[in-house]
Amino acid sequence: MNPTANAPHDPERTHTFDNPRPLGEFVPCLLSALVAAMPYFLEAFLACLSDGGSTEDYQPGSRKRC
Amino acid sequence: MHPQPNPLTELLRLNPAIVAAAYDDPHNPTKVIVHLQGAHQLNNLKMPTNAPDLPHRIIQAAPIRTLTCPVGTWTMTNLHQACQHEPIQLGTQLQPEHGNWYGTAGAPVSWIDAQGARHWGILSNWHVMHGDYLDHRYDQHQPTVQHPVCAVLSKSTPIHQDAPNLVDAAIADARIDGYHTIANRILEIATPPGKPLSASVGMTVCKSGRTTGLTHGTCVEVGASVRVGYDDFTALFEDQDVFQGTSGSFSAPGDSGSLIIRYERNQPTALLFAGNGVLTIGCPMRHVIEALNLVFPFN
Repeated sequence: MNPTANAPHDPERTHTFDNPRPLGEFVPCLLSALVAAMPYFLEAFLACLSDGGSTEDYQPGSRKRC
Repeated sequence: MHPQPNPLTELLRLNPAIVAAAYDDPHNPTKVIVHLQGAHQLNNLKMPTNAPDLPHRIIQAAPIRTLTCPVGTWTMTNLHQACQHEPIQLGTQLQPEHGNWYGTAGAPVSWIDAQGARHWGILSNWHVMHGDYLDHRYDQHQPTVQHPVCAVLSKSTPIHQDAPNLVDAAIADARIDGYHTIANRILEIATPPGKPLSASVGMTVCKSGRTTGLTHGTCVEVGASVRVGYDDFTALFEDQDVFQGTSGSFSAPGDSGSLIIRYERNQPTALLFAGNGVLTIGCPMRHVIEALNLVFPFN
């Protein structure tokens, strides 16, 4: 007698970790990440465009000069 | 409407024998202190029409001159004249490119340029940092031109010969090849300079400079008008601070550019630029800060 013959159907057993997420869920996730990172990209881009000036802090040297 | 000329400056303008003049108390003057050169008498002097009717106190004085010293008089064993590795502490000997004199790299300072960028470098005088040649770049060397460049002149206050001056100051950018050559420290002064403060009569001060090193003194006058001798000309200054040494001279040739600091509080009060062995003249820091757009704290 097969002990699983009359076992109820378990829907969880139809999911495995190898299944890819549907595209409909992936795209919004990617867009959210890009929007969140946009201010940082913009700041770096503007810093590259700035002519002259220094965005660096005071950095004392340690060169031997005598 | 033109502002009224400063009566003290007019007193100097009318009488070449007067080297400096100040009120005993600028807020409530009761007398005018007149530093008179040579054997001139007060009753021979011309008084400006807008001078207040106050009694005078006459003090015999020597001419006041800027305080650089000729090249060749330096001592390697003197802490303030010796070469330093980075980061360089200030209050140390400075020689400009093409300049045959020494002065003092007085203080570490920071400023904002016209584009809004922040810089760090050395505060000294115009007459210390400018070389003889009309070069497009005034390199500054510590302690002599035989040693590497420590800063490049960035901004200075021109001296007028036909109008009273407030400041003889200059700043040099100490960022060389990506790193700053200077420390936020002044030789023999324990802590870095703090927030600036205006001098007042009776205030005890100190300074660290190339020739006399660390000296102590007292502010004896504020708001003074002074006649200062440069190499090739004479200029009038007004609203200057005057100091005298506590024991011995507060300054000597070579000390030009030193920062005068309120003792025990490390508060910058004036920039030393002239003297006569008894009196030392400093530009008030408020004038220096305004002229050069300095910012505090340093870092």
